[in-house]
Amino acid sequence: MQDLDAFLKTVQNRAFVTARLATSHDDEALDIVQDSMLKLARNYSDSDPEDWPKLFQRILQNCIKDWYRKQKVRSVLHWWQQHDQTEEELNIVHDAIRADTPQQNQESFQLTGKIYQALQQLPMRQQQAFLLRAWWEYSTEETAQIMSCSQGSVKTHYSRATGAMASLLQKMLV
Amino acid sequence: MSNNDDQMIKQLKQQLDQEASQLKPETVNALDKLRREAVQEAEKTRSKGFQWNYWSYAPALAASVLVVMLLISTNTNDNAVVDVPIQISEIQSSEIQPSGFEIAVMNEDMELLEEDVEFYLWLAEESVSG
Repeated sequence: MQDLDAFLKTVQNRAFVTARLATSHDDEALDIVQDSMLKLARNYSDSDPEDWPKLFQRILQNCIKDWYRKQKVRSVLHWWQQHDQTEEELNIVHDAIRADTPQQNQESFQLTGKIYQALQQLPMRQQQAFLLRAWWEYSTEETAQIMSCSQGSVKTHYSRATGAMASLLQKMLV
Repeated sequence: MSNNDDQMIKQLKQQLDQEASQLKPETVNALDKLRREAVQEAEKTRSKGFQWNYWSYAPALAASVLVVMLLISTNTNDNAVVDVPIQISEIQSSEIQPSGFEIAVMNEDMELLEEDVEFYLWLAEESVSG
C-alpha cells in the first residue's frame, strides 16, 4: 500500500487545484478529491500501478462532471420553486453556475494571474481537455481515454479552449 | 499553435504548479488525511478480497478432497476384485489366512461364477432343444 500512498501523494495537490478550478470552492474540491481517492483505492488498488494515473484522472474528471450535474439540478430546482420559469431563465441558471466563478475566485482564494481566471471561465469539457493536455501533459489519446470521448473531440475542445483563453485574456488585459 | 499560445500555456503551467505547491497548510493537512483514509480503505478492501478469495477456494478444495477420496475408495474396490487371484495364490503358497473381507469377495465371485455356469448350461440346452 506504500506505492498507492506515494502515488496519491504525488497527485493530491494538483487534483485539488483541478477540482477547485471547476468548483471554485475549497470544500467541494476536497469532497471531489476524497471521492476520487476512495474510488481508486476501493476499485483499483490491485491494478497495475502504471495504470493508476489515468484511472485516477478518469475518476477525478467523472467526479467533477457529477458535481456539475448536481449543481445544475440544484439550481434548476431552486429556481423552479421560486419562479414559473421560461427556457430563457433556465439558460440563465446554467450560466450562473459559471458566472459566479471569477468573483469567488478573487474573494475566496486571492488568486493572482489573469490566465487562471480565464481558465476558470471555460466550459467544463474545454477546461478538462485544456488541463489534461497542457498541465497534466497527457497525450491526445490518453486525454480521450480519460474523458471517454474521441481524439477528435479532445482536439476540438483543446483548440476551442486555447482560442477562448486567448480571447478572454485580451479582454482582461484591455 | 502560435507562439503566443505556447507562451500562455507555459505561464499557465507555472501558475498552476505554483498553486499546487503553495496550498494553505490546512488544505494540505486535509489532503494528507484523505490520502491516509484512502490507503486504509485499500488495505481493508484488499484484506476483504483475500478473505473472499480464501473462502472461494474452500468449495474447490472440498470437491478436490471428495474426488480424491472417491478415487481412493474406487481404487481400493478395484484392487480387491483384481487382486483376488493373486491373493489366493499368495494365500495358498504362504498359507496366510485371508481376511474376512477378502473371503467374502472370493465367495461372492465363486457364487457368481457358479450361477453363470448354470445360466450358460441352461442356455445351451434351450438352444439344442429349440
